[in-house]
Amino acid sequence: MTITTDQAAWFADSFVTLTDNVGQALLGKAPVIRLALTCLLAEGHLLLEDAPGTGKTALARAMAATVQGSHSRIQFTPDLLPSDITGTTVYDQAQARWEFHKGPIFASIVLADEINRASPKTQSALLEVMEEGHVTVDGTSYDAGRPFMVIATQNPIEQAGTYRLPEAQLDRFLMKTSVGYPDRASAVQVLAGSASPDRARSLQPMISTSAVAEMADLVKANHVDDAVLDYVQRLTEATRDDSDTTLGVSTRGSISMVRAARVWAAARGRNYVLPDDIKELALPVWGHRIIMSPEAEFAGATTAAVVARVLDRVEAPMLRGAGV
Amino acid sequence: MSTDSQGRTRPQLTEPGTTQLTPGRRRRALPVPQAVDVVAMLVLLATGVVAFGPVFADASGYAAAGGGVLLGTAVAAVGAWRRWSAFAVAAATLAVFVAFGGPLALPSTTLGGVVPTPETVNRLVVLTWQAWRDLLTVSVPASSFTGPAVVPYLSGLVCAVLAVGLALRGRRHLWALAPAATLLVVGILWGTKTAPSAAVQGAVFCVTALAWAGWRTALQQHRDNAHLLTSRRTNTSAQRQRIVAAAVVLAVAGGSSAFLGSGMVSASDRYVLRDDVVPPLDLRDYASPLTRYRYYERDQKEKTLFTVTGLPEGSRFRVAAMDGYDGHVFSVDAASAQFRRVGSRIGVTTPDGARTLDVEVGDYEGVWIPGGGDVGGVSFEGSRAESLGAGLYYNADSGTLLSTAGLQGGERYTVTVAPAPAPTDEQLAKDSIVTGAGDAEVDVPDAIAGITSDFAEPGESQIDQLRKLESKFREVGFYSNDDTVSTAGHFDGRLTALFSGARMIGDDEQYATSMALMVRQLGYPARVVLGFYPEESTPGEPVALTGNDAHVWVEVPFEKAGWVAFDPTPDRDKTPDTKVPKPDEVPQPQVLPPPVPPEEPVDPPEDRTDDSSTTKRDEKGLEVPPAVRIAAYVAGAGALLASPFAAIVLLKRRRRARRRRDGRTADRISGGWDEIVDAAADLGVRTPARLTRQESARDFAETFPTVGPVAVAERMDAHVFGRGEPSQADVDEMWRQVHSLRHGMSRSVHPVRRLRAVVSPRSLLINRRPRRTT
Repeated sequence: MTITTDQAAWFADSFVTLTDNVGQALLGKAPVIRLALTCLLAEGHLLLEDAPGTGKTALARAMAATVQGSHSRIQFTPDLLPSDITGTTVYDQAQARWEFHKGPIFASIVLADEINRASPKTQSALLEVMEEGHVTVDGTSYDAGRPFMVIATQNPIEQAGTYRLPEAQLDRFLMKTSVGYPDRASAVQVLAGSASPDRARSLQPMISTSAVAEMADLVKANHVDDAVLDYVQRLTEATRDDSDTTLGVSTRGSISMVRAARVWAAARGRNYVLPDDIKELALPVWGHRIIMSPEAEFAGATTAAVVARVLDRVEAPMLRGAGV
Repeated sequence: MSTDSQGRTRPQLTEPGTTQLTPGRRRRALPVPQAVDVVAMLVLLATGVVAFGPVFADASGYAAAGGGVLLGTAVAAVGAWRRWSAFAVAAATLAVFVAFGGPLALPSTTLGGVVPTPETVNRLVVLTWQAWRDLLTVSVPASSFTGPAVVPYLSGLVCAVLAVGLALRGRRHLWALAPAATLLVVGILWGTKTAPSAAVQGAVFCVTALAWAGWRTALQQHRDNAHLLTSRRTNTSAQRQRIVAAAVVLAVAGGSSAFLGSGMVSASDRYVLRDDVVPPLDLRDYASPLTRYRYYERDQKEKTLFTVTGLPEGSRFRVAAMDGYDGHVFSVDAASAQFRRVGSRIGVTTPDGARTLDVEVGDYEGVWIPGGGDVGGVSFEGSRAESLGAGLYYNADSGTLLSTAGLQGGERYTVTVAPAPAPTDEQLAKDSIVTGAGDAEVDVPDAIAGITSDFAEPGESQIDQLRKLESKFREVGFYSNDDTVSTAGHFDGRLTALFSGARMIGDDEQYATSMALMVRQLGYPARVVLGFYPEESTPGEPVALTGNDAHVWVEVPFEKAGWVAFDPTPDRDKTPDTKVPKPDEVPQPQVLPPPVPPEEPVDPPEDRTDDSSTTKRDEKGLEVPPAVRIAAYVAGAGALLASPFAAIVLLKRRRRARRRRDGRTADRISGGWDEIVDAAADLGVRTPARLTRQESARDFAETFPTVGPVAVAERMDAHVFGRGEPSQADVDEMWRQVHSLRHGMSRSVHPVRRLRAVVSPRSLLINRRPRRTT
């Protein structure tokens, strides 16, 4: 199965439409929006790490508003319990049976705000649903539906009262990025429109959940040449060999990369993936998966530097792969 | 604070025990780059030192130039070490110049060859500018003069100070090559035409200069970029490439210079200032003085040609000695190689018993300065003294003086000349004739060669034999300067006629040349001398020499006595009775008829001229015209020099064809991109391997604004990484775009850069592995 150039072009058009729509709520942040939409269509989850007030929540709300589906918001606090997320089973005396009350996780787009404020136990409750797409409560499994995307935000970990996300959970986010402050022109525009603070509310849904699923299915067939796969693998190995890391990119990390790259390429109207796509996605997809060695961390080295170094050292492929 | 031995406190700049990084500490260790700089400069300057060798012919040239270079290097190195100001370096240079100038450049003015005297300093100052002229104008082994060595010494010193100083301290190190090259150029221009090691010098200079310049530039770039370099690895690979490129260039340069050096460099092509400043003395410009003899003797018979004061009694006033005979004329030609340019003083010491002759020129005119012999010095007076002195030459072998300015009537000069010895025949009988001193190639006319054995009788000794020959001429011959019976000249026809006629009739010219040739035929050297001597003179009084006093005589060298004069000319009053016609001619019992002479026109001069001209023509016929030869050399050299570039162009063409032909269709398209990357590399834009096609395309788009490489890269990526194998038509289309892109890139740069890119080996040297997976 493959996708044609026409399909790729349609995909790219749709992607642009979605980007523009979300962009109405989040001015001047097209790159982040593109990454977020890529996550959505790659059926992954997005972690936004940024200072408060930069528009993390606005992005999630705008995404949710654009997709014609349900969305919920969970504000993570230290006393939040797992059942507050997944839902609880209550006894319905009238019907004389146990009834499951779905928690906020059962939505197309879930905004998990300040995820690192919750206790590890509660954080881990997210694990199953994020990875497997269903929730098991009291032995019964409940499907989370399609599309299902968690947009988690976290404050920088240095802040007080935070629980650092475990590596395993970090690995389940397809991408981690930050919104950042808007440029001056956009910021002025935001201030001008401050009378109506929530622009996301005015957004019209542009795409149905079924269409999102269709796009996600289509893009899975996007062609990735062996040379590009080899490039991904060489980059992955290079992160593991780097002297500053204790843990490089996992296999899940490289799989995620290929998944994201297929969407990224199709979003550009291509029915094939280029090494350029890999390079562009390397930091958002891999940055949070690399564990720095304590010495390097102490010396001030960052995962971004490791990714940049790896991209600098590994030769980009020029020739078509030999075929497997 | 700490206290020293006097108990004074002094500030302590650093904590005890910490590393002190004061400038003084850092300066003490000589870093390797600076040592390399000094060594490279010394090698470059050494080629200049060697260039000064031939003109001095002995070690003095090397000593002066080499000493200057070493001293200059020392001054510059110490100056760099101690961080002297330019003024301090100049002062030190001046001090060194004066202190060591004596032993290195003017050893004869020093005490014991080392300690400078006031004269040394005095002359050093004057010679600082005069020596440049002197070195060009003195005769070639300049070592026999005091002074010219200042040129190599001064230029070596100054060039070394500048070269080493610039190399060690200059902001732009490569300027150091200029003074180093200057020394070589000065050495060549002030040198001689013959330079045995010119090719080697040139090759060594070029190779060293290129290598050092390359190394210096690389070092500078490395320093400039030190903060940009993330890892040493990329740096070393770039360096390795650079070293390989440099080695190739140096090998080509060295090889071609060695090859061309043997074929192209010849002494006659070498340009030296000496050519311009001093026209070499060409004696062919001046007629043999002997041809003027009859003019003096007959036409200026009563005219006073010179008035000489101090001429010793019985001594002869020589004009010129002639030792070369070519069948036409006796000339000084053969000895011209020994004509040296001289100043007013000749030789270091005045000859023993030398007398000073004061000469006032009367009606004499000519370049030959009468008064020759063993001359100790000549000084001219009057308005033309300067030009006469400047053009003065002296041939020590024949004792002949010549001034290219030419003497004119009324001029005065003094000559210090040693009297010619006058040995008796008894002394000479014990002496023997020097053999091998004269003209080895005896060119004696056949008539004379044929009758010599009959004419010259054997004697008891060599002098006896020559005296007999001399008296034979006097006995048999008649004297006449009448053109009707005795024509002037001494070409071989005239000499043949002298012997073949019924009677020998001639004047000094014919008798002296005949005897000289006969002596040569006997196997002894002999020369003919033109001079003046009076019939009688009163000692101490000025002697007025008239044309009548002109004489020509023969001189033969004896081992102890030197040149001994012979006068074969019959007395001037022994004239043939021309008034008595026929009867006299037939019976002449007292005249020993010479044996039947060979046919009259023995060896007509025309033949000879013909001969010489034909040989000349032959040589010309064989010789390739110089223009053609030069053109051939230039073409050959051009072809040789161009060959590496041609090879580069061919290699690139082959690479291009291979890329378009080999591999899968997708690889051929990738090959098209390699071609663009290489074109960019040749244009000076390096593409790191980490860049993807589109990233490098964006780089190119910034560098080459007129072309659209990004679109080409996108299309290529679609073919290479897309699904399905591209067709050959796709390959051809992509290559068409590659070609237009390449041309667009090269058109967007300056034509010079474009040309350089065509022949640049850079893209061939880049170590590019095929970026292929699995």
